Amino acid sequence: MSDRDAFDGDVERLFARPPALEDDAVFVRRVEHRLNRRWRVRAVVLTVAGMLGGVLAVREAVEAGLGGSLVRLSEESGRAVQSARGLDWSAALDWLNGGGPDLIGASTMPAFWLISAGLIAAALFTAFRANEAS
Amino acid sequence: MSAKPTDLSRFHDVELAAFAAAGGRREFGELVRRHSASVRGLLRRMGADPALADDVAQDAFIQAFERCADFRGEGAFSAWVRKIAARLYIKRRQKEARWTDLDAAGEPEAFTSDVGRTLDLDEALKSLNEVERVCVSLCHGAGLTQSEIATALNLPLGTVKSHVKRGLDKLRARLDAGPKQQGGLADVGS
Repeated sequence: MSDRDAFDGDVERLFARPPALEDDAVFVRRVEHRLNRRWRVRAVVLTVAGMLGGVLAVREAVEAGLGGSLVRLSEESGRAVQSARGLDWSAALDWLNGGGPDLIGASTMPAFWLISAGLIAAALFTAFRANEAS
Repeated sequence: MSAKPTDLSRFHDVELAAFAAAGGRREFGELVRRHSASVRGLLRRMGADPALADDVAQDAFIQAFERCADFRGEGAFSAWVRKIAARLYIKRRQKEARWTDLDAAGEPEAFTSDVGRTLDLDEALKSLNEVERVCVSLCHGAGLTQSEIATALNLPLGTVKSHVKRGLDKLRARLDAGPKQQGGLADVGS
């Protein structure tokens, strides 16, 4: 090892020796305080975002007429069963030719609800976990 | 995934970092406790005044917490945070446009530790101009390669190399004279 390499090593060791700073404890408390504050803000933001997402999901669902669609589907299914019993196939065929129930809306809306519920649950879980940790 | 308060001192930095990566703020607090002096010291040695050094060191630890999952334990945790802090400090200084003409930078402010005893290295660093001090600190204190320093400071690699060499020569001259006065390099343990 050359003199220069040895000196480089010495300088690195000198740099590795931290100076004695009297307010170290204050500094640590400040960092911990900032971490806790950021964590709380994050928990609140996630919770609010989850709730907002839930409210928007409900509003969208209502506007898309999910309730009406389900009621119509139920009524039309009932009529079809009645027609089948009375062997009045023309009524069932009319119903099918007429487009039937809103299948697109009926099949995608449950998935939408499930995702919304999942998001809200995730936000609540995060908020609870954050509160537990703090 | 959280350890009891009394247990934290038993854990290695890598284990604490793993806890912190899972959201353990208390475990990360222990890491801050262990390494804050090293990070703050480096920033002061780079020429930051105490308030700025503490500000940047806080930001560095917060960033380290956010990125704890990236720390794999290949090197020392303190070296990893020092690197983050050094880069943040450079960015901060560049944003303040205080380093528009690094080569024309004047002599750095003197650094003394809070307990009154001036460390030999800190005393010797006073003999370097600002750019030499920053280059030597980044190279030997933060562990950046000379290419990384060149990129971070927007300086040609050759310029960085000569700043580091000149800075080390000055440090050597001061530290070699140290043993006759107050310890100097003879005091460096290996």
